[in-house]
Amino acid sequence: MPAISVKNLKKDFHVRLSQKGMKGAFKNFFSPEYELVNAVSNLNFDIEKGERVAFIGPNGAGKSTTIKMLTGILHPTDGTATVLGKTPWQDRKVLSYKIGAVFGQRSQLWYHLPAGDTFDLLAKIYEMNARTYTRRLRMLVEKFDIGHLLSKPVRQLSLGERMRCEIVASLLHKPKVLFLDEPTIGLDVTAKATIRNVIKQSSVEDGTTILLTSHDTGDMEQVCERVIVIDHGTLLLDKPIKSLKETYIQNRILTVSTKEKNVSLTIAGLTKIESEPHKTSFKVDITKTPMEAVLKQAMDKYHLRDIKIQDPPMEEVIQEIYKRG
Amino acid sequence: MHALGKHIAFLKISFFETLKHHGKLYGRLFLYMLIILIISQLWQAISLERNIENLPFTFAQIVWYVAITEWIVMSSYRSYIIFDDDIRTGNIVCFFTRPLSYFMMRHMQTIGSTLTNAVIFIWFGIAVSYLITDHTPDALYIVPFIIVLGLLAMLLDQIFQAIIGLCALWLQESQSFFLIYQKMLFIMGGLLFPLDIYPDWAKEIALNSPFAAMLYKPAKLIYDPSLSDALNILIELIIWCGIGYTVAFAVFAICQRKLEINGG
Repeated sequence: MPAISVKNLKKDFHVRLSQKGMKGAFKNFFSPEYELVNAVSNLNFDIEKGERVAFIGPNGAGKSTTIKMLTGILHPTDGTATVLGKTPWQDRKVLSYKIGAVFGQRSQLWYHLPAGDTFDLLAKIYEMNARTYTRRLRMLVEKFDIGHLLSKPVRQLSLGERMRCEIVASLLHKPKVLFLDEPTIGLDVTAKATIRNVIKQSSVEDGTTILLTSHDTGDMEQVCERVIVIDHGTLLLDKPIKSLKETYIQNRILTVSTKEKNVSLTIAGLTKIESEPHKTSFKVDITKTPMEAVLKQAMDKYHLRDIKIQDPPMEEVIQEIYKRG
Repeated sequence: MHALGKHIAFLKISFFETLKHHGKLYGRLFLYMLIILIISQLWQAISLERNIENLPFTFAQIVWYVAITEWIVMSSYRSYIIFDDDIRTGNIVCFFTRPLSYFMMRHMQTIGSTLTNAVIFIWFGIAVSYLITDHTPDALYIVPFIIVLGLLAMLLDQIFQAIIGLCALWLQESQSFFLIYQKMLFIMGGLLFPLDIYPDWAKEIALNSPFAAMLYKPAKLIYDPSLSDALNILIELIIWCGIGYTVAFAVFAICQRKLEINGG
C-alpha cells in the first residue's frame, strides 16, 4: 500500500471578484460576483513509504492546495486521496498523530513561548510518554543544533532558527509522512544547506515519507529522489530526479582551460557563454553536435590544460519542463 | 481525559507565561489603579456637592463596587485579537493538522492569561480601595462569592470575545464589533455607575442582558449582600456561559467548514 495515493483529485475555489468605482463597490456589497478557479484538476500520483518526493510547479500551480488536502485541512471538490490508508479530510484527527506538516510561510509554533515550552506542549498534544519524548527531543535537538534556542521565545528567533524549530516540532512525534511546504523560503545559503541535510538524514534514519514543495531546485536535488511537476493543477511530469536531466537536457556546459589566452571554436550548436584569459565556457547542443566533435576541434586547435563537462543548472531543466508543459 | 489534559496544559502554560510579561502587566495594573482613583474622586465630588443619601450605597461602597467591576473588565484578556489574527493571517488552518481543537486551545490559552491578571489585580484592587475608603466591605463573608462570580463573568467575557474574533472570517476584521460589545458591556453592565441610578426603563433592559450579570450584579453584592442573590447570579452566569459556548461552538463549526471548503 502506498504511503500517499491521489486519484483524480480536484479542487475548485469560488473567488470573489472585486469591481472598481463607487458603483462597483455597491455591487460588491449587495450582489457580489464570483469566479470559479480550478486550483487542482484530476491529479493522480502514488508515493511509496520512505520515498522523498519533490512536488514542484510555478506560483499558483496548486502545490499548497494539494498539500492542504493531503493533510486534511481542505476538502476536495472531487476525487479521492489516502495517506497511510486514511482519507485525510475524513480522518484528520487520527491521521494527525501519524503525519507532520511544515508550512514555510506560516508558523505553527506559539510565538510568545520559548521553543522548549512549545515542544513540551506538543508532547502533551501528541500524548507522548515522558521517556520517549525526552529521548526523541534530545536526539532532534542534537541533530538540528537547537540546544541554545530552547529557552528563547519563538518570536525572537531568526527565520533560519525558527524553521529548524518548526521542523523539530513536526518531527517530534515521529511522523510516518512529513509534508514540507516551502521549508527553505527566505533562508540564506547556510541555513538552507543545514535544513536540507537534516531533513534528508531524518528521513533516511526514520524511514519517513517526504512530500516537499519548493521553488528552490536545490531543495529538490539535495533532498528528493523523485519529482512531480504540476502546473495549473494538472500533472506535467512524474520522474526520478536522475532521469530528469537525461530526458530534458539537450545542452552541456563545456569549460576548457588552455595555454592560449583566447579560444574560438566554430561548430554548429556551440555558444560561448563565458570567457576569461585561458579559460572559456561553451554551451553545447548535443543534438546538433556530439561532444566528441567539439572536443576534437578544441584539441586540434589549442593546448588543453583541463576540461570540465557539466549539466546545466536544475533551474534550466525546470524552465524547460514548464515551457514544454 | 486526554483532550482535557491537553487543553489544561495550554491554560497552565499561558498562566505562567503571562506572569513573565512584566511591562504589560504593570501597565494594566497602573491603569486599573488609576481608574479606581479617578472614579473615587468623581464620586467624592458628587457626594460633597449633591445629596446622595437617596442612593442605596455609600461613598466607600461605590469605591469597592468600581474596584470589582474594573477588576472583572481589566483582568479579562483581549482574546478576540488572537482569533482575529489567526483568521486574517490564515494561521488558523495550520493548527488543524494537530490532534486538538483549535478553538479550545486558544480559548484555554486566553483563560490562562485572564486568570493571571485576575489573581494579581485582585490584591491591588483590595489595597487601593482600602487605602481610599479606610473601610473593609461591610459584609466580608460575601467577598469569596463575589470573587467566584467575577471569575465566571471573566469566562463569559472570554466566550463572547472568542465569538467576536471568529467572526473575522466574515467581517475581515472584528475590532469594530469588539468596540461595540465593549461599550455595551460598560454601559449596560454598569461599569462605573451602578444600574440603580439609571432610569427605570434603561435599568430594565440592562438587567435582562448578560452584561448586568457580568458586572453590576456581582459587584452590587458589596453594598447589598445576599447569599440567595449570589446563588441566583451564579445560576444566571452559568446559563449565559452555556448559551455562549453553544453559540461559540456553532460559530467555530461554521467557520471550520468554510475554511475546509475555501481555505485560509
